[in-house]
Amino acid sequence: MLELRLVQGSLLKKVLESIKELVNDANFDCSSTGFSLQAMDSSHVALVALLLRSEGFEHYRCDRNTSMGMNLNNMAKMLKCAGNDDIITIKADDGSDTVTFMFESPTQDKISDFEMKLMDIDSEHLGIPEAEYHAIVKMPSSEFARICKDLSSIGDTVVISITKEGVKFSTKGDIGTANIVCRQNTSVDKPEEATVIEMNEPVSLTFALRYMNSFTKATPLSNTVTISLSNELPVVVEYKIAEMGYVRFYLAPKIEEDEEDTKPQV
Amino acid sequence: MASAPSRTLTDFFQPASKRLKPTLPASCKSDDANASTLSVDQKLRMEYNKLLAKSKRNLKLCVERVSKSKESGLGGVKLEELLVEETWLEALPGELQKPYALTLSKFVESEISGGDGVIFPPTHLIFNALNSTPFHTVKAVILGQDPYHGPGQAMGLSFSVPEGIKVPSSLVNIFKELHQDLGCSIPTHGNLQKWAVQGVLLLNAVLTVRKHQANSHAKKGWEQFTDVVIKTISQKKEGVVFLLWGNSAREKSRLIDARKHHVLTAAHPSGLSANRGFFGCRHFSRTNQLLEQMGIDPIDWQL
Repeated sequence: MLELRLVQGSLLKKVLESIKELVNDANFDCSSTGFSLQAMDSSHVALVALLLRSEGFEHYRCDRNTSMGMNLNNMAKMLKCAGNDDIITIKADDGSDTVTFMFESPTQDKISDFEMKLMDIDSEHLGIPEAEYHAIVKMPSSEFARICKDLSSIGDTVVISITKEGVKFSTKGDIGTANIVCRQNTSVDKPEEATVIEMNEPVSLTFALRYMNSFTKATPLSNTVTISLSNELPVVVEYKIAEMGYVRFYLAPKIEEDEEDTKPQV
Repeated sequence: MASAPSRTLTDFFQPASKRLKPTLPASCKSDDANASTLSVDQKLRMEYNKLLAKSKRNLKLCVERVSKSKESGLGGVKLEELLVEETWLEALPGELQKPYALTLSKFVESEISGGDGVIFPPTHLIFNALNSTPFHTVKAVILGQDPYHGPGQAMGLSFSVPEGIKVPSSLVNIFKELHQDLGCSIPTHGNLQKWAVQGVLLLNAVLTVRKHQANSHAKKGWEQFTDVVIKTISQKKEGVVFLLWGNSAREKSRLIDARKHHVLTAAHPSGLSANRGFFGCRHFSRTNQLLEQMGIDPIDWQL
């Protein structure tokens, strides 16, 4: 038996809106520690990892570890039927092939339940080792979203370079080039408006902008975004989810600017 | 117009255990052990893929230069334009501009101008050994004599043939010894690029040959060039394992400082001599033992 009750139901709505563009189908894993998901996009270039810790739910009952395969587009459609202030409860019986979403308005005068069929999804689960990053940038998420949107009107890829001067986002395309530099900026009134850069080693990596733009769909979840980079490793773009978890996006770097399209083989 | 990135996350992260329904919780201990193992594999795979991409890029650059010179209708592409791996250009400064090399270059160009398919390997693969194994990655050197002289066989890597080409008897014997030595299964093809990318320099003493005429380009200057390559490795690096098979290769040991490097000798793997000292030489496992003693990652010899 699985029963999870989330008072701030809008969080789950925002989560779905933030990941459904990247991933079509995914397995949600439930254990005593929380509700989690790990899924790659169809080309295996990007990965999303979601965690909603059990303590963040008003009620969390999970008798056995279980995995539920869902089509995220369909799930988003269901969650759209919940009001922004509704309490959302997720229910599933052991071995069931459906999941039920229950939406309660704050005053309890309207209660809806939606039942969705589960899918059998055979997906690969990747082990993501704990990494020590060469550089970590924490900045306003709206600022990051704006940068990705602006640069994608100029070029297809972004070079993110971090030095002690700051973090630079660069792109170039048919019509020209663009560079945006954000310097460290901690003396602001509100902590969430600061840009904080921790750098052990200079980093410069190239990424496809269309994936970065997909990631910024998670902007409504958090005022700040944390970008962690190491040379030759995937970037991690992390949005915290209130006090209860996170959504992390991983993106493989491009090898070199003019690299051919062939896939490496082992 | 957006090109997809050429790498995927599976190049960086290893698959964890297959998902179960319901999943049984793994113990912390096995998680830790798993994580550290994955890290090592992950690093090796990353390094390999990076080097493979570099060698493909070098190859593409050579192909472009060859086709550009054909389009221009001028003489063939100069030899010096076919060595594109920067680390070798740095290690061998100005070597291909020396008088002997310019003479060699003119000779090879005139031979090539006799028409496609007269000279092997194909022009863009003449320096494939150096273009596939950057100077800084050389861990071992396998010395051949000159390229295979049958059509489609030579690919610029000693002893190696492309997929789809019948495996020559010397290479069959190499695979037999590898099987006996390390238990590797016999591959269905003879492409040794996987060795080259890992740091095994597959160098012939003579880098070109005329069709069906074994050793026809000997004494035209190639030996002087490849001797410089060997001497440069010996002088500028330490701890390289040289596998010298047959008398011609063994004679090159005079160029190698045996106080700094490891020299393994054996008979040639050719059918004429394999039974007289190649079989049983165990050079593959001995190479890996030496590398591991020096704290260097061993070669994955399985193709």
